[in-house]
Amino acid sequence: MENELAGALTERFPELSDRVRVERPGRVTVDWLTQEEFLPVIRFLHDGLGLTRGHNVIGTDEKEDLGFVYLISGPQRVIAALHTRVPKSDPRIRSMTDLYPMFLLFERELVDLFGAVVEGLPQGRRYPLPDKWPRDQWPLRKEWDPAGVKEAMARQPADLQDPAHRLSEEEEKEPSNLVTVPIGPQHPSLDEPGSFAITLEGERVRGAEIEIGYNHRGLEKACESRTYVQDLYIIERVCGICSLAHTTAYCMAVEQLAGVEVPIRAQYIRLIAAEMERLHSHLLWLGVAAHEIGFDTLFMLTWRDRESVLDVMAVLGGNRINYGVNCLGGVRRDIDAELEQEILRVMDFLETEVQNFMHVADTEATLKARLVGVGPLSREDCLHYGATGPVARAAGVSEDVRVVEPYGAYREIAVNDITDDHADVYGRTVVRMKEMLESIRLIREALKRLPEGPLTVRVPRRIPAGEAIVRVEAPRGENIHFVRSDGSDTPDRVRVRAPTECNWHGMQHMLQGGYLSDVPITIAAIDPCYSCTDRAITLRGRDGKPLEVMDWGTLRQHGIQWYARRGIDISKVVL
Amino acid sequence: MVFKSLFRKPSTIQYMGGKLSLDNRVRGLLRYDPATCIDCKLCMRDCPTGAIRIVNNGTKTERDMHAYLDTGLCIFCGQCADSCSKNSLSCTSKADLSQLKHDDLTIEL
Repeated sequence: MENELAGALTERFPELSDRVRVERPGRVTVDWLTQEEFLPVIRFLHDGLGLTRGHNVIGTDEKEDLGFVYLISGPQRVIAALHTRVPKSDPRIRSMTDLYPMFLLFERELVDLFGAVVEGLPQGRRYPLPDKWPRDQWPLRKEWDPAGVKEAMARQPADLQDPAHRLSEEEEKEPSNLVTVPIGPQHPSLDEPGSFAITLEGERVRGAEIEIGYNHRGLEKACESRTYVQDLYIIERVCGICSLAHTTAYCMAVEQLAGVEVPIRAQYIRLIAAEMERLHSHLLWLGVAAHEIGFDTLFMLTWRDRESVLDVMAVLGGNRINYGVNCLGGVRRDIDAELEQEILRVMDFLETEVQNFMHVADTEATLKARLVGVGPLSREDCLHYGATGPVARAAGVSEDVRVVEPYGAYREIAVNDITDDHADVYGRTVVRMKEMLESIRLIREALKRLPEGPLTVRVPRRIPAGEAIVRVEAPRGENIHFVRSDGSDTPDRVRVRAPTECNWHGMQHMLQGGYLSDVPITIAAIDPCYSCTDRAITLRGRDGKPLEVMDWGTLRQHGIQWYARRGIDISKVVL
Repeated sequence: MVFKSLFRKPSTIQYMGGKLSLDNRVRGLLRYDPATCIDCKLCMRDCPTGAIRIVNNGTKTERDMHAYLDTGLCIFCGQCADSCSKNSLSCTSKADLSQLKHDDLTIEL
């Protein structure tokens, strides 16, 4: 497959023959193209070879230049990584959003974090940095000095009002029957911060403006200054639910760069832990979804059952949430006979429970009435917006990485692809429930076939120079990690693309035309993980107030004064 | 269903009087053995949050080893125990470590 793609590319562009490389199955790398060379190549791949699915755009720092890596794939499921570079003195690139609408957020990131000038990028809010962040501070450039931010903040004009909350002049003049309801960033129906401006006509949603980025923590920058071993724990904290999916992808990328093969027993344990994670993630989602539609009994039941998985994970990994099962070169914990029995017991319990929930979803009229036809995203729209995971599978798009590009122990234990044709929230519920049963089957199968052997293999501290693009199937969909090493013990660039980042693009479409009361469940239905997406201290000023960065002491002084103004003296409290 | 649930014990773990029954494989506070420690400081190098500090108050041959852990920084990942080649560090399942003062969080192991 990959050779055919490389062949077709060199046939059309003979001058690229020394730059097209095939190093691993399923990957075609095209080395540094200039902007002039790049545009016809990506157009040919899109129009001529049908590589219409965009996975990610990764920015890199190439000393004098800015590099961009475009990851695209097509029906052959081969990811083509196109490298292009522009000088930092004139970082102009063309927006690819006309060919790949799912590149919108990724290209906004390039503008904010790398200082690229993306021509043709649609107007919109900044992402992922706050509105008040100085325009000339680009954190992911290597020469960036954090010390400059405070001073640059002070230079900023204070009258920068949020564009989304400011009505245009026509709107202010012309009275209409449209009402805009702001939801978030802090709102009872949202579990994490995200801001939605929903325009309503009566009860119907006419338009939705989505703003995320409140959870940007600068994890990718943090990874660049720490060693590969330390990064493992940062990557684990990208997401609280699918922590294992992220560490698996990161470990696989580093292992691939180091050229080591993980012991087979470790691969099986990774599979078991990954499927258990999928189980508890889907149970959590089912509870949240039930809660959003007011069915709190189901919420209580699913969350109770989720505890049984978490208890096993605590024993297997050592922690309930950030289990720390993975390490570079294998896994840290073993499954002994006692634990195996415990897992099998929990699986039997969960199987009856999940079947019970499926029975409820099948027969309960209220549940169906609230879910069927809500938040539709058709097969065509899924492909257009690059949706992934259960959202895509609910519309019949089979993009399960475990099936299309098996990794680890999935090469030995085949996964049945689960799809549905409802293409709405109900379909996503059904898909997730069936996936839970599939996970239970996989765990039983893996425990039965669990081979003997060592758990880890030694991984050197210094990782040889190279690039690795690894994808794994997280509970929410496809998860892509890009790790680039320069031969030292710290990575040169780590890019985490969480599944939610793809599913956001279709959100506006899902909300339009629906009812206001269906907005929470539609948002919840993609199982959004804001932290995953934003990956990264946000500083956000409100109503034109200047921003202030406080340290611990100042914050405490501020707290004491705040209470003192209200007649309470807390200065005696010793911390 | 309702009657069955009435007579079942609660699904949650009991935490009455501060007695927490965690499995002994769950990671908690570290245990440190100064006798076997060779002062290689690999644990300090690998610690993702910089919570652990190994101090040698003696000389290279006559070691007097102490380990200090800031439990406010520690994320209980157990990487230090993994990095330790002499198994001087190991994990226990002791988990109730809260203190009233910020400074009391740094403890000697």
